[in-house]
Amino acid sequence: MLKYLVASLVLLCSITSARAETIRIGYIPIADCLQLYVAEELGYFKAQGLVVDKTPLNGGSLIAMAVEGGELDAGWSNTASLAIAADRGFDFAILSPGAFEQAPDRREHSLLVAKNSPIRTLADLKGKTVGINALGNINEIAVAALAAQSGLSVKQLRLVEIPFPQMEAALTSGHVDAVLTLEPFVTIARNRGATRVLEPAALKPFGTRMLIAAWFAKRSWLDKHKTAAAGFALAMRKASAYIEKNPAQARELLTRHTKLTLDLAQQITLPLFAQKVEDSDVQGLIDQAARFGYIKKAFPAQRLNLPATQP
Amino acid sequence: MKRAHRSHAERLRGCAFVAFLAALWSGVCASGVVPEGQLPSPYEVLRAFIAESPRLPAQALATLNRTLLAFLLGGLGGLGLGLGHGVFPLFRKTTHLAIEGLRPLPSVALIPLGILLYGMGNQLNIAIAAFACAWPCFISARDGVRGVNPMLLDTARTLGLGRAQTIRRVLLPAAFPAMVTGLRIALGIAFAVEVSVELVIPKQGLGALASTAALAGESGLLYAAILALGLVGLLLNHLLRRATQRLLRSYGPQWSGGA
Amino acid sequence: MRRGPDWQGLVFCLCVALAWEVAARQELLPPRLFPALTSVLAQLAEGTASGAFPRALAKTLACMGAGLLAAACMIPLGIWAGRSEQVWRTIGPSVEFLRSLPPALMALPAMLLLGIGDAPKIFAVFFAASFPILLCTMDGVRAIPPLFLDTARTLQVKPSVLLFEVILPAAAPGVFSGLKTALPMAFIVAMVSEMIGGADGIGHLLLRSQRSFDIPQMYAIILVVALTGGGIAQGLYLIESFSLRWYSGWKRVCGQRCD
Repeated sequence: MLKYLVASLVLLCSITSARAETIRIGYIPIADCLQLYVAEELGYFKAQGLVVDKTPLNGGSLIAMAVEGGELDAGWSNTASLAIAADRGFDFAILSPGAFEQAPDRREHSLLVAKNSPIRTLADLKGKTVGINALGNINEIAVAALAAQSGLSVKQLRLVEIPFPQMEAALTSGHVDAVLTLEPFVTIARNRGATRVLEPAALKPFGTRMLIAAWFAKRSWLDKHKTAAAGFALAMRKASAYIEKNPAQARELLTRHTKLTLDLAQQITLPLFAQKVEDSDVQGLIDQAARFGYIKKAFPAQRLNLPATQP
Repeated sequence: MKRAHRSHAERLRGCAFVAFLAALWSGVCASGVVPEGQLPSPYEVLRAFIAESPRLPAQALATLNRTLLAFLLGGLGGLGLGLGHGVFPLFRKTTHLAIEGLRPLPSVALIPLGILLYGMGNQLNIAIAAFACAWPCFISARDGVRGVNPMLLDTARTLGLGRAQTIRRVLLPAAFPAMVTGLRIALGIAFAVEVSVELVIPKQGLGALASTAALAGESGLLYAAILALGLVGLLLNHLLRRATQRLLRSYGPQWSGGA
Repeated sequence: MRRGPDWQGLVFCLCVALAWEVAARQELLPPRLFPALTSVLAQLAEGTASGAFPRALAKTLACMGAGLLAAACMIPLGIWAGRSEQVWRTIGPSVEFLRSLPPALMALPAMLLLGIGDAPKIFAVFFAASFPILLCTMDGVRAIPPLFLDTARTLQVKPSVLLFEVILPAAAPGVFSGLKTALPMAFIVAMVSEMIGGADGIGHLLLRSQRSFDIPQMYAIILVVALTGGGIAQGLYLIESFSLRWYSGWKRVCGQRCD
């Protein structure tokens, strides 16, 4: 064990002493990380004198651990994970806003049921099995809040973990009664026609506009790398502006960085990429997480926010 | 050995059974008992295997690479620790309890901890597989040394061999067969644990390929990856059996012959 | 084995624990990723008292037990294959291929085929535990001293008596050595399948505590898993030494190896 520990320490040291203006970023290769692909392809990072070394990972918490351990400088995480981490005493701050959801037409999370399912309303979910991608995270909180809106407790549902790509199959084969899924799987499922949308805006309990995910870093890292952090945030803002102005090009660019086909990339609902994150974009989620016991106590959204990198 | 001299007819019997299983499998698929897309027929698996064959060797190499590195690290570490326990009673008495507490820990439980320590790169897989495969080496080296015939030690003492000489000339050669057996078990474990880690953290390797295929519902690719993993496992097993036989030839059939 | 408390070992363990505590309190390592031992133990006590850990563990052990029960059907097959060279030649190649697959892998096709819930876990455990039990039973039957069988033949005992009173007890050492491999493996495979697609069980809780940044709880669960692993090994050892009393006596009398 000791040998591995020493080896990992040596590695950590060698990594931290690497090039100065390089930011090591962890991300998940999905549509929500569109800003990163745009900023990279259009040279927004280079314009800020930054080299971005990006590592694709497949779990938000893994990115958070790597950031906490210092293996990555910054990373992408959904807002619920950030809130849970803050609740456990981790000192992460939002470096730049990521994807938002906004009513009515920028909603990318939906609750689906099989086409011939007897479930017509959320209240019908009582005693049913609902598939979500990860228990104890943003989508479980959303299901808990939705259930509460129709007078159910989340304990009256059976939640199971299914990865997004497998959800439609699990639904149509009858392994689960409903799934909470997101784009592009909502569009794929709609095109195939074997499912029906039960709730088109699954994240609506968190507010009319909410921050789904953000680029974050440790506060101690941010304090030490103010210029790099500001440069990264600016590049991301420019990328957001580009996506909102040129959605067609942005969608085309998406096909080169994710497994999406061009056809599908043109059809899916893109999340909103806003310039600035408001407290209200995050507070709804924090409050719901606290209400259903996913975090111990609600806290002001400002704790996650870093005013210095805001425009 | 009985198994070495198999006639063609005997081989054929085994192959016929494989063919029978494949036919049974095809029958199940054709009968429609299993919903479509959940169990591909052997023909579909073979087709997927051939279609994916350009992609498989690179993934297989990634898996093998990490398996062997873990085997090397864990094997050497385990053997060293085991020899230390066998040769130095003080060392054994001191660390015995701590090691017996650590040994039964299922290696996969260390995955979350490993993520904290190593991130999700190669190191994570190697460290966890090395941890898992160190124990059979540890046990075999320790028991190998402790099981050395006391007569040999007495002889060495009579001949006036020093402590270092006794260890090098008597203990190590006498414990060698047990150590090789330990290493053989260790390689199998390293392979199995490496693939398990790939399943949980699907980044690279055949296990990762299988895992992502299963999650995406691509059953053909999944079974192709399973087939490839089986072949790699068979290959490892075969090479190791050969190596063991070579290494232990001078120790007689009792050690070199086993299956 | 020496009886009485192992003072030296205990002192070493205490030193390690103390070093951990001090290193964590001095924040030599990232403090949130490496909590103090005391906070881990507090978490362990809390999780146990609230019933969360025992419930999750019971779930995992239940799946493991179900899979093992299913794997017990390999004992008759092992006896059959051990008695008849023909049977082994027929199934041998298929078994060799299947057992070279990493055991945890089978959770994937099982998930695809059997959906979500306990069924794929049980199947994966069954698959993993089958081959060690099958092969070791077979070896155990083959290693039955001819004296036993000859005696039985001379006495012209009924086939049922031969099976239940000669072969089965005489093959028991083999069966047990199979269980010694199969049981820890079953535990690991049950945990891996909970990690790649589950909603409960200790493996899922472990991964979930890492994902929800509850690091002390993660360490506490690793401790639980280590203790369970140790408990399984110890329990099996006790059962074995109880039911194989005759064997050690017989070995002593004959003064020969019969494993």
